[in-house]
Amino acid sequence: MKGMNLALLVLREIIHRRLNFFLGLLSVACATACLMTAVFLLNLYDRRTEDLIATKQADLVQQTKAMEAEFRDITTRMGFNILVLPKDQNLGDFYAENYADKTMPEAYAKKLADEPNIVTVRHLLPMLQAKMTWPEQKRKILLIGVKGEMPWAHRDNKKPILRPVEPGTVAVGYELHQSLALKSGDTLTLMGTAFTVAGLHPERGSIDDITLWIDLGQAQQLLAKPGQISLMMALECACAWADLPLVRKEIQGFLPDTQVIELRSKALARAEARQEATRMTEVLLDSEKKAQLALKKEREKLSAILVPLVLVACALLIVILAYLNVRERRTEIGILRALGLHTAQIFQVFLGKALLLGLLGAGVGILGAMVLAAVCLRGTVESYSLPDTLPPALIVTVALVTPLVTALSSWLPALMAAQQDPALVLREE
Amino acid sequence: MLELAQVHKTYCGPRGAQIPVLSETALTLQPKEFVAVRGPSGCGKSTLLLTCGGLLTPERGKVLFRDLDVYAQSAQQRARWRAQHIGFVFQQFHLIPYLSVRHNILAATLPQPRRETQTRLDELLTEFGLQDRADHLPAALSVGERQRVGMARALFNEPDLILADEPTGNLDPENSDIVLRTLTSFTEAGGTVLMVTHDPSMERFADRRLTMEAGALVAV
Repeated sequence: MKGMNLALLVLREIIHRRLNFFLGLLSVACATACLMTAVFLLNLYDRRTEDLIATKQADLVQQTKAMEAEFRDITTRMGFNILVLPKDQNLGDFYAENYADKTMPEAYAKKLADEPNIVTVRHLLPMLQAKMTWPEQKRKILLIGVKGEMPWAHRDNKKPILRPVEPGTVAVGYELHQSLALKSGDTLTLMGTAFTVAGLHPERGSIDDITLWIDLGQAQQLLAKPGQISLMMALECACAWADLPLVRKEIQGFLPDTQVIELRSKALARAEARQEATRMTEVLLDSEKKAQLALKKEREKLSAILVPLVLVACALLIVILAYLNVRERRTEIGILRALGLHTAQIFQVFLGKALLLGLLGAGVGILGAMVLAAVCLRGTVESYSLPDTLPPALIVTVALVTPLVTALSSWLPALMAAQQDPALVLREE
Repeated sequence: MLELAQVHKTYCGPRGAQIPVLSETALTLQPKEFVAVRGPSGCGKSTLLLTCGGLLTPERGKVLFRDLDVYAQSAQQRARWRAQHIGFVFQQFHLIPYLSVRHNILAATLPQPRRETQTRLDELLTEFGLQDRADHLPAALSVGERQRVGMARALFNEPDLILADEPTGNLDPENSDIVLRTLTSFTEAGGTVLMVTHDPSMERFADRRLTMEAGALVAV
């Protein structure tokens, strides 16, 4: 048969005064569940916010990539963004006239194309320009001799972005072919040489509309500038406006008698606008993050008020219940003291009950919160697991701390019980 | 065995008045002695018992148990001493309401767990005719049975001294006889009994009879 001990005494008393214990248990369980649920809801909110932000960020990345692709495409179709000019070309004149009057050797283009260390330039087009009066038509034009793209000696050649103009043919700008009623296949005479119209350019609203494009060699011959070019257009694939110093350094390293400038284009402006849009989206995303953070802080603040209030109310209820229990058991304390129990043992009896109350209350509260959390999670579209929102470390901490809180709450009543004068009670009885 | 030497104890009455309950009280209890103390209600009989049992510190005087000054010990030492040497029997039985008869008797082992509790328990249950009531709660017992449980609990640790406060006060004559015969047997086995009562008829089992008059003990 089992003997008698303080633990058994505590258990029998709990069973005997079930209501007192049940009220205490309910209080502790409610406080624990309240705390756990608050943490659960905050964690769930955090997870949802993180997912929302992550989705928005992923969308942003995709949008940015799409914009970059579009920009690349537009840039390719609309023109060049790097110009290599002779070193002695006055840039003021160039910007004022929109035309390069100085020349440099055509061999520079081949030198650049043959150089294996050039990595930033993808497409290279040498050309000779001349702003002149078309003798046969008595009107101002821009004559451009083009050769097509220079083939790269040391890497795979990309699909050319500009077709060469065949010798004996001419491509005509919009204003010219409209005013002269030129059609494809017509013949025109330029500086005494006959050319077949091979291309009619659409309207561009620029100097291109009064330009004639012919073969570079024929242009050199007509302009009496053999082996000379005015400039090289280069399409730089790695965002020239951002890496211009690098491109400039690379090209000038091999062609010291040149100068490199960036030619701004509509595509660039549009790309920058899109960059700005991307930046704005990032700002919005950042603002969303801040708003979510502020909302989280508000919720934390509310929890920081509510949860301690519940805990304090629970602690107070435990103090009251423990005090009532001590009062109710005054005679019993007197008997136990008469039997030879000392104050520390009486203290243990009451504190043991409080610890058990804390352990069981924490267990019930944690279980309740977990069930509640599981039900909540089942009702959400996201697939969060229980440990994501109720970390095991929190459960262990609550399970350990709750008995300590109940023990602390019962400390004073237990001390009162231990300090009670047994003679006073026994004499009264 | 136990000696009260000039023990003085007062209680605080209304308006702070000091009411003497034990006035230079002297008492010597010998082994195998059954001493009955008689007196009217409120004369200090219970105070005398609680003082002898180490539960009520006197203002003056000494309580010596085999030359050990009981109140010179710490509270914890006194509790241990009480568990080892003293058994209390009360008029109101003072059983623990939520413990069965078995556990109420075994409550005597709470201060100091002991071996062979089962044998001792069986002995006492048989001696007091409580075998069939071992698992019953006090509320299910008659008053006579309750007092027998109280007696069994007091005797469980085989104390040297039993302090009985009106042990037959709530009992019928038959149960009173059982209680008094048990106390007599206890003294015959070497123990000492100090019983206080206000009923003169209960003194017939005592070896020595005393009355309490103005806080002092006077031989009858």
